[in-house]
Amino acid sequence: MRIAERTLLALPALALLSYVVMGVSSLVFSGSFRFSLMMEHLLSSELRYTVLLTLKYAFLGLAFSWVLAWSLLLILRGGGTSVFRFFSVLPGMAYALLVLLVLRLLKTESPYSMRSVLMAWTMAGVPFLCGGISEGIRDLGPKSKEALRALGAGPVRAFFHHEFRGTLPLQGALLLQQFWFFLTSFSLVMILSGGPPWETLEVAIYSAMRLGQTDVSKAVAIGLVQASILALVRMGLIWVRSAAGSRGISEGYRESNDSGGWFGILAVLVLCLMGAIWLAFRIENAGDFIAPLLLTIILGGCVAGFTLIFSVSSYFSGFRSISILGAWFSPLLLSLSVWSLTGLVVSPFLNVALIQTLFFAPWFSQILFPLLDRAQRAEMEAARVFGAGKVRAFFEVEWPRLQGGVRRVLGLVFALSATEVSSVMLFSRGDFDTLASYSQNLFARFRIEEASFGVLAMLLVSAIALTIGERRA
Amino acid sequence: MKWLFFWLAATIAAVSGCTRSGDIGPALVVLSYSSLGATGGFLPKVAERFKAHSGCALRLETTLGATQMVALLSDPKLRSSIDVVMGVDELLQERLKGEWVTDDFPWLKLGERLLPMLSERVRPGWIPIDFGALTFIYRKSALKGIAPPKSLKDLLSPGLRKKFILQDPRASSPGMLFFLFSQDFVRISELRSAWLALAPSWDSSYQMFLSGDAPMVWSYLSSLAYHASKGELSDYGAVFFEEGLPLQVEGMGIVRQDRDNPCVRKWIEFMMKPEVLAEIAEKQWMWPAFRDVRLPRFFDQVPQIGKSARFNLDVKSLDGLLSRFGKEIQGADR
Repeated sequence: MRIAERTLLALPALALLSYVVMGVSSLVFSGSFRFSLMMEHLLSSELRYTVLLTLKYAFLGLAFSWVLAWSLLLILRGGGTSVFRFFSVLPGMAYALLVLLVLRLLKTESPYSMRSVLMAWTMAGVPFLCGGISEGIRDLGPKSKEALRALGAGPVRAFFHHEFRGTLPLQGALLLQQFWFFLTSFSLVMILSGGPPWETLEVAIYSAMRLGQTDVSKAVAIGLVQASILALVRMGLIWVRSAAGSRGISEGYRESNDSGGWFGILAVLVLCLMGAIWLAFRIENAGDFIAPLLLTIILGGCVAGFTLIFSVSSYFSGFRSISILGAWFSPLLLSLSVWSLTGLVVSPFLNVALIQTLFFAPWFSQILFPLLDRAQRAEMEAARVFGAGKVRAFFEVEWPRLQGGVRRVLGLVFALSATEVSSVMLFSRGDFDTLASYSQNLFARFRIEEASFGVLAMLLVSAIALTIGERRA
Repeated sequence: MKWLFFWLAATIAAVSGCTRSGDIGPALVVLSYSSLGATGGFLPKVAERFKAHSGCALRLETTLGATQMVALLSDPKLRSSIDVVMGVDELLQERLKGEWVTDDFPWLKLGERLLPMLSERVRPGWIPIDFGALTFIYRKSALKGIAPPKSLKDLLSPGLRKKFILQDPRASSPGMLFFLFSQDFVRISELRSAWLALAPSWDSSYQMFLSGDAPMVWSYLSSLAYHASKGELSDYGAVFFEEGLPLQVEGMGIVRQDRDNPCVRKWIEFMMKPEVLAEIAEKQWMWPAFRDVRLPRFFDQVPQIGKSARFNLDVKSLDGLLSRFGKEIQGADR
């Protein structure tokens, strides 16, 4: 590929990379950041406490989710994969709401503590682990188990050697992904922890930036610690995947699936629940949700579009690693790094769109790049020999093969954008609200009925996006 | 294929359309915290009337807690888009005093109208509007025979453990006042295991209290007037600490006064009307700072403030508290 052509293709990827570099430089050299203060915060007992608290509950969350997931899998005997998939797309806020409802029903005296957070993390972790492990078991096939049984292994031994040991690398990868989710969990902790002293790393970054006086040095110190832990998680994930070798670990994408119908059912169910809440609690300000709804849709569209452009650009220009930049950092640390650009160079809305692009591009490229790697180069060459231009050859030969996967993952990015809250909370400054930030603010003001209405509206948008993506795929 | 081009075109159009609304800007922008300025608060209630009365366009900006207004105003770009800040108490006024357009507002005749007990509290550029005495409000039926506290030390008693909600002093003004008031009597590290939750704003803490999550909440003595209006006063009470009750005076300040913009003065005049101030009393459940305001009848059922607590309300004390806060609840000083 000629240098000029490659440079042109690399432009969007380089633009996004320079946006991050510019943000980091502007933050570091701004008057609000002081290295000595950052070091002071890094060595403080407060930060040590926050790190230990976060890690303790994240590990407990993993342990409970893992034990419960296996118990459920054994009871269901491999069934319910679609149901798990259906639950694993719920945002953290929905789990917080579920926990609040459960604790209210149980008439618990103290619904706000890290125990409630732990409960919500476990509730979120179980379907994710169940879904992943049951798909892994399905991939193993029945033959090796049949062989074990034929050789005289009892059901327990056969289970241990076939299902449990066979999926160990996958379990490791899933647990690390879940650990990542716990470490970067924001709205769920904000709603359920009851505030200080129960602050996890992600919430502590937000508190340093958004409560009272802004303390950039403290936020950067917490962010660096969190990024270091996340980098270890990421390296662990790479190691587990490479150790799995030929056995491979599911990348989360399958050519055929049956989830579209489930997401459709979810959409209908959510719509019914919204109606019920509206009637039961007389949500008078339902009209106030319209602007955040429209903005959520616009933002989702922008982020999906940007992610596509960014990923394609980084693939074809050879800068593949740029597209997974977001996978190495926490959402809030990434947001923090470009925070100082808000309002000065880039509008808050565009900042949110760009940051979300960085968050979700790794998901997108994880699915898109293997598809592009399998390009039918011979057929493309043939099309070009017969006179088709490069672009036409691509759309005539490659696109029909790619479009299912691309649409599906665009639907997923749209759904993820609709439920992402931390970047919007950090950048919006009252200028705009998406359904996620609007609902989070209602939660923060403890207007639970209206917040539930908002969460359901958010889920509806996600479910419709996923249904469209899955159906067309 | 078509859908892809449509998507990209819509994306580009949407991004180019999503510029900051503040750049165009209405005639008047008022910043306040959520329980005052968000849906259901006092400001949205009077906003339409102001617009019709003055002919000015009005945009209400809100932050979750009062202290977040300081963070917002510290950004020069955002600060330049705000005209008036509402709901600034004395502590925040100390932080923001450099921001005010220091007019003495002779046209408001503040000296003649202000309650004598508040006359010493007026500061240049800051106009008091309402005040309240902070204390714990409790639900008698929920305390289930547990005696309400008489002194701040009583908050540490086992019977009251996890029975009250406070506000985060980093985010909320009442929370700041509680910790400034209590720091001479109880240590934050002692209290950390006693509170049920440290809410990010007064608004959220009171909603939690009303939902039955805790039998006591740090609030205002005048919150009893709200419960009187609901006919449920018999089940609610207020704590009178032997250390006294801290007073909070809230006011407003002008951060930008454009000579060509008459809306700022119109807003100040509108807010100072006795009938509007009476609505603050009814909607925010605070006592108006002026003599000529007729209070809603429910305020007759609120007990007298009695002894008011005295403590330093300055930036130094506040900074000391905030720097100690994290260390005492999460750090080495636990």
